[in-house]
Amino acid sequence: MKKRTFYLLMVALMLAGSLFAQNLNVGGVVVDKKTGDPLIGATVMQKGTSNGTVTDLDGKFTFVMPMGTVLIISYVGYISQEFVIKENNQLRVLMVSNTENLEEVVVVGYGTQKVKDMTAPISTVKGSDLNKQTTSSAMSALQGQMAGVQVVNSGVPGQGPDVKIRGLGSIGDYGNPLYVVDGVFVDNIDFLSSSDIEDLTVLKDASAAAIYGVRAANGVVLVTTKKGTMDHVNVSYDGYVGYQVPVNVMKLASKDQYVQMLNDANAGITGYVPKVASNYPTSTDWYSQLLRNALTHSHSIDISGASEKTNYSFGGNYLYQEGIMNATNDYERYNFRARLDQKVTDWLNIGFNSVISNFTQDIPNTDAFFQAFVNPPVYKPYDKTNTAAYPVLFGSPQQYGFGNQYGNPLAEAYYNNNKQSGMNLIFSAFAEFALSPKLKFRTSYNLDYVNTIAQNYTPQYNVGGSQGLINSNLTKTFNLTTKQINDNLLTYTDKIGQNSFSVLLGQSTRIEKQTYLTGTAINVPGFDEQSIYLTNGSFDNRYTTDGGYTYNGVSFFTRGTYNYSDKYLATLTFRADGSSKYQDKWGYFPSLGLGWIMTSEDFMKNQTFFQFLKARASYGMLGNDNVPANSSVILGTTGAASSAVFGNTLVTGVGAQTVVQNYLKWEVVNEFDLGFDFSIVNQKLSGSVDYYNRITSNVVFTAPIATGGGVADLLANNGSVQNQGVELNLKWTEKINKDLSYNIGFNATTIANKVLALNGINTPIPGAMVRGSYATETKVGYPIGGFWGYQVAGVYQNESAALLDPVNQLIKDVGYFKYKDQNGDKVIDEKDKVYLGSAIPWLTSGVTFGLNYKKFDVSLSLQGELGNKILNAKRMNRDVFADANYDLNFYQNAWTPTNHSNTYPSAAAYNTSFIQQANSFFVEDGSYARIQNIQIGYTVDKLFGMKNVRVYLSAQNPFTYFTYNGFSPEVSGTPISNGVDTNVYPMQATYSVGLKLNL
Amino acid sequence: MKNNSLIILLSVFLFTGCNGFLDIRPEATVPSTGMDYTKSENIFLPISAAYASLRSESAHSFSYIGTFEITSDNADKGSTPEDNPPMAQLNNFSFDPTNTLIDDIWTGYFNIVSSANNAIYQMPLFESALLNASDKLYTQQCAGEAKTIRAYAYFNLARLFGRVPVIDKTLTSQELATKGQESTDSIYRFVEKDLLEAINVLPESYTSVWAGRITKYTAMAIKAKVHMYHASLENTTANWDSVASLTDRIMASGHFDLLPDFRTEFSLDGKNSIESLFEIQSSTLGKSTGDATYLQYAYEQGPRGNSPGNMQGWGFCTPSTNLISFFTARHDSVRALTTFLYRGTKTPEGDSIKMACSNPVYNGKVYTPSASNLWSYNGYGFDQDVHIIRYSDVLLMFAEAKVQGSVLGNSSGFTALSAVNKVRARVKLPLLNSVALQDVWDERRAELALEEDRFFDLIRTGQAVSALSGLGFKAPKNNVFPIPLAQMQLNTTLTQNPSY
Repeated sequence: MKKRTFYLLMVALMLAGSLFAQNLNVGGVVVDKKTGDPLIGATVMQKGTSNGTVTDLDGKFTFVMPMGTVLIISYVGYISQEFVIKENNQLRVLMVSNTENLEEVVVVGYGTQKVKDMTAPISTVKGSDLNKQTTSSAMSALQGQMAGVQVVNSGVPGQGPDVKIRGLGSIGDYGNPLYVVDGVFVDNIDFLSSSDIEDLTVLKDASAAAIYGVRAANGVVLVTTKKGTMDHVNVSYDGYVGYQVPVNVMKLASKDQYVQMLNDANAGITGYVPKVASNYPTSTDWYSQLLRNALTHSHSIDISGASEKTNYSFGGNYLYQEGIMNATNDYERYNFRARLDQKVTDWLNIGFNSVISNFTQDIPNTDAFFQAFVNPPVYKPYDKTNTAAYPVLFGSPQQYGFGNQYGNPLAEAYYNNNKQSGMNLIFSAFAEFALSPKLKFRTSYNLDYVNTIAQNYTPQYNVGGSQGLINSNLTKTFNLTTKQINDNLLTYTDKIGQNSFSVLLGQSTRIEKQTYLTGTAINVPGFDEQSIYLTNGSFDNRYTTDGGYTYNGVSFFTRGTYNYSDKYLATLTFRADGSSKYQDKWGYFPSLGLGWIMTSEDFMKNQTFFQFLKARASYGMLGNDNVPANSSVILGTTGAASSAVFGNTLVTGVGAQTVVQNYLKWEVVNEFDLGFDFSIVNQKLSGSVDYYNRITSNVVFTAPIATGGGVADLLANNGSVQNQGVELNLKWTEKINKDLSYNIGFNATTIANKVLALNGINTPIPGAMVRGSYATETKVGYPIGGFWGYQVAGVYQNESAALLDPVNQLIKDVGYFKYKDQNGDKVIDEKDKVYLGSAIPWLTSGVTFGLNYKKFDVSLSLQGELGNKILNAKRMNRDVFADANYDLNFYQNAWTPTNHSNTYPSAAAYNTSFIQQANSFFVEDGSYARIQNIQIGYTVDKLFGMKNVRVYLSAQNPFTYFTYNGFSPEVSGTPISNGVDTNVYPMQATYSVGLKLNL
Repeated sequence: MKNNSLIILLSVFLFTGCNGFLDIRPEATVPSTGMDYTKSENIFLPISAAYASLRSESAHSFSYIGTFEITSDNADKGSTPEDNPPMAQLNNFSFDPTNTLIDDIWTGYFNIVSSANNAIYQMPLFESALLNASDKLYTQQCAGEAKTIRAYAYFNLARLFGRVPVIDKTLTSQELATKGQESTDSIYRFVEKDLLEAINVLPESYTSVWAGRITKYTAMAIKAKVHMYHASLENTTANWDSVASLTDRIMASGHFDLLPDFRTEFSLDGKNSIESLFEIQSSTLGKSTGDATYLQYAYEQGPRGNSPGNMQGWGFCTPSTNLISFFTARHDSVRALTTFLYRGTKTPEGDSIKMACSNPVYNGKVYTPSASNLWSYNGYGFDQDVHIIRYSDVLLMFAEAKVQGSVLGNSSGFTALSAVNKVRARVKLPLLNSVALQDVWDERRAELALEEDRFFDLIRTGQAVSALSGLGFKAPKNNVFPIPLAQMQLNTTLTQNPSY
């Protein structure tokens, strides 16, 4: 019925048109109302006819149509608009999105794409969401927010987190994602404030990341800094003041507990004189001495806007974070940001963007936390009777006969003046030429300029024993790193019938350079900051050294996208990459992504379950040049180590290895991804599920070689690694009424990491060396950097159980571990060491909850990891620190004649190197669940002439649950030496009050 | 279309221009070959690096002390009982192929081999590029130094491990991983050939700025020692003849003598003295900070727990009761005063060795007075060289060859008896009237105690079983150390020594 009316109407209109037509020229531009971005390929039609066109790359169109007819402008995902045309007109069409998620446009690298059209798994988060969390680094705020992205935070002020996307593909430490800030390649975005960010997109699979090529093999984090919004001038302030409180502080034994257990431990040793607690002056809780509550605050100002020809955004941000270690350690950063995009003519757009970040970081000495762990709790932190100490009268463990391995933890933290300051500049400028409405050429220059000065100064001081320094010592390092990229892109977009397609041809040239200069001197007077210069040190014993690198790269790439009738989607990418780091200079890497929007099919028309359903599959290859450069020729070795000494004279020499350098080939990531995007329950529940399988082959890392060539290891294509798993994203959004709406998000990722091959290497790749043996090793068939050691089968409960045990081990005695005889040969030896787990979690997950009720908003985010293991290396030093303090957990659980533990050794056994080696006692479960952030906000509109004002209360990391015996289950490291906790900086909860003003 | 062709053109241009752009050597490096071979002052550069490789912690410090001396009846592990299990294993022969110190010394000597190989390879490049005849000759002389260094390294490898791969040039990592072992005999032959070539080109002496540089006599002394060990395997007479004639030539040269005072030889005044044939140079260059140009050889044997900071060390390799009794029984008091450093005493130089020290007695031959320990980080004895061959060793090798019946080597005028008595006279011991094999061996033990000679001397002379059984030594198993497990994993063609 309806159809017929339609046809009739159409015929009528056509007749009318042909009879009365006075043709008018209509033109205009179609843009997204929210972002002001032009909508490319929007359909412009004369209503009721097949007379139409599509918008070009600038969202523009020109059209000829009869007067009085109706113009319909439609675009997938937007509400269509109609205009009655009465005169020659230039229209400005602001399109409003009709759904929440699927029609969102995301930055995909050298362009944007609608989520709906994508064939690859891509996640995006808004800067405003990141900014809800009071973290100094935007990546820290991403923790638990996105499937497939693992973030391991550090408590040290200003130290960015460790980020891995879809597991660990590198055995050397080269598996970090690429960060692209407005086209500029950077190593991390710790220099950015969350308030600088408009949105952040993570390209996870090879097919999506392909366009970023050589650095993208381990995922890409695309950051777009703030832009102006069309027809809307924004002037806002956003800031908070927070109070940081150390959380999950470990409990240690008190003086009495310590003395009691120490006497237990040594009772069997002849000649041991039991210690008497009353002989010691005090009971000191070193951790509470070393920790404090600390302040943090952040302030941002943003001014932005856009008109048809100009889009501008200016901003500034100041952040200060004091460390919770009771010593000089803090982080200060101020950023300025300016962006301007200008339409010069119909065919030329130019623009630039810059972010300048200045930072100063006072770096704490985290060894103090280890000293706090081991130091006997029996002497005073400050002691007026320790007259040997200067300039501060710290107490010394040596006053009470403790060995030189102990040093006052507070002094350790205090006599540390390590800082780093610098400037990070991101600059990019572009010119875009519209060669025709469908063809565009864009060239851009992108610069990352990082200048840092690191200063390590230790004054002359003395505490006691070997804790002291006779000559003050200063090391300064000046470092300049620049990364320059020139990109040239040609884009063609068209629609022929039901076939929409785009073709991109690109070329990119990269030059990365670093130079550093380091100087050291002794006897530098430490009056004040102005005196800490190398120049003021002794003339003798002053040294300099320098170095640097240059990496060059050239890439050619093409990307084609195809969309048939919003049903069938394809993305094809092909790259040729050349890198100076490899001997095999050029690598060629194709990738393909396919999508099928099933809900667009006729057979799905009658179902109501799915509002949207898309199946995606992608396969791609990517080369990784984020590896160390390999020299094709043998390099000379210079310096003192290559120079002979005759008598007391050094004679300059140049040596060289006598093993030929390897011919290095491209490290290649092969990734397969299969996924579904869906939206159900009237679009209230949307989500995606993905299976990924990425295999990194020809993995570049330095591995041991047979002795005889003068070097222990060489860089080579040494193996292959697989990461596979499933990612799930769910989001429930519901608007109950105009006052109440809420959303719940859930994401989960599984990671199964496995070394598939170590080419020709028969030895495990050694990792963390703890107490003289390797606690982590990388072996075929197991995750990178797994923990290896003995399995503790139990504790010998009595003498006869030990004697009757047919299995031989070095020590068999009451209170000692009985190690499991894995191979049944009745002897415990190296062959009985087994895999004890790895620091890579098998599940990472996050939950977010948001609720808006009238003027109130509430948000909550939770996050956790399951299955990651931690080596408690703090405990694994007992044979060296034989009279060290005990952690309370050990004190309470140790085997004693009355406490028959089957998992904890006796205090006496605990002191022996036989117990103090890698075994399942020291490898603990690191699983945790955390309340990441709770926030309550209240918004008042139109206050004191402002558009709105929001005040909020926020708690960051207020609660974390874990069983690990340490400060924090977040222990990072290099891939082969991961999860080894020697002295982790504690985590802090931050309670803050925030204010957001919109003028 | 026009624009597309523009891009293609641009691409072609970039591609062709790319080769230099993408082919760059790492910054702040020099190529190993390609230095200016026409400049005579560059000749010594690779040789210098070969010398530097001798100054390696792996070859001549902790693992060296452990494998060469702590294994013997002269020394105990020292330090505290719990400290360093691998070293404890060396002391009581409980080590196996996983012992890290044994692996360390394997690596240490092969690194010396590699540095020497590089130097030997580079010398002909200079020789053909240089025009001056004396420069050409100098390249040959320098190659001789490198060959001596390589020979010395293989000699120690052969003594330590029996059979090792013999690598004499640059290889690929695959070739290294498949290089098989040679027999001890053929390693000794390889070493003897290198040394013979070196002796022919090396000078008799250098100016004093080159103190400690390898001379013709260094190579001769090493070669004599190699033959002495080779004699225990085969060709007894021929080898002893070589020992006798080589040592005789050194003794007849007039370049060497014993210092009047035994103690001086082990003080810093005794560095590269007239008594020195070969010592590993260790020096702080008079500085108190900077790059390490020293060995921790002495530091590792310094009195543990002593004070002040520059008068204490790790306390390893302490003289055994067996050694002290041996000295006492011989009334060897002059050497005892220098060889043993007791806690609770004050040295003639004025340093107190406090009772707080962990061990009752330490190696006195590495004792360094506090005035000489200026390195800011609690350094002790960083300027102490490691003695490899002293003149007394030469005298005693000569004596042993003569006692073994060699009729060669008569130009110096020494006899077996006069050579032994020269050693004894210096340390105020009564002269012998006749000399038997055991006298020479005992003299070696007393004279060279704690100088890393004893363990292999016991094996060479067949005394090991009687002297070391009590410590856990088993023959023939412990005549050599096990091939390190790590090395067998890196090179799967290596085969393990018997019984390990």
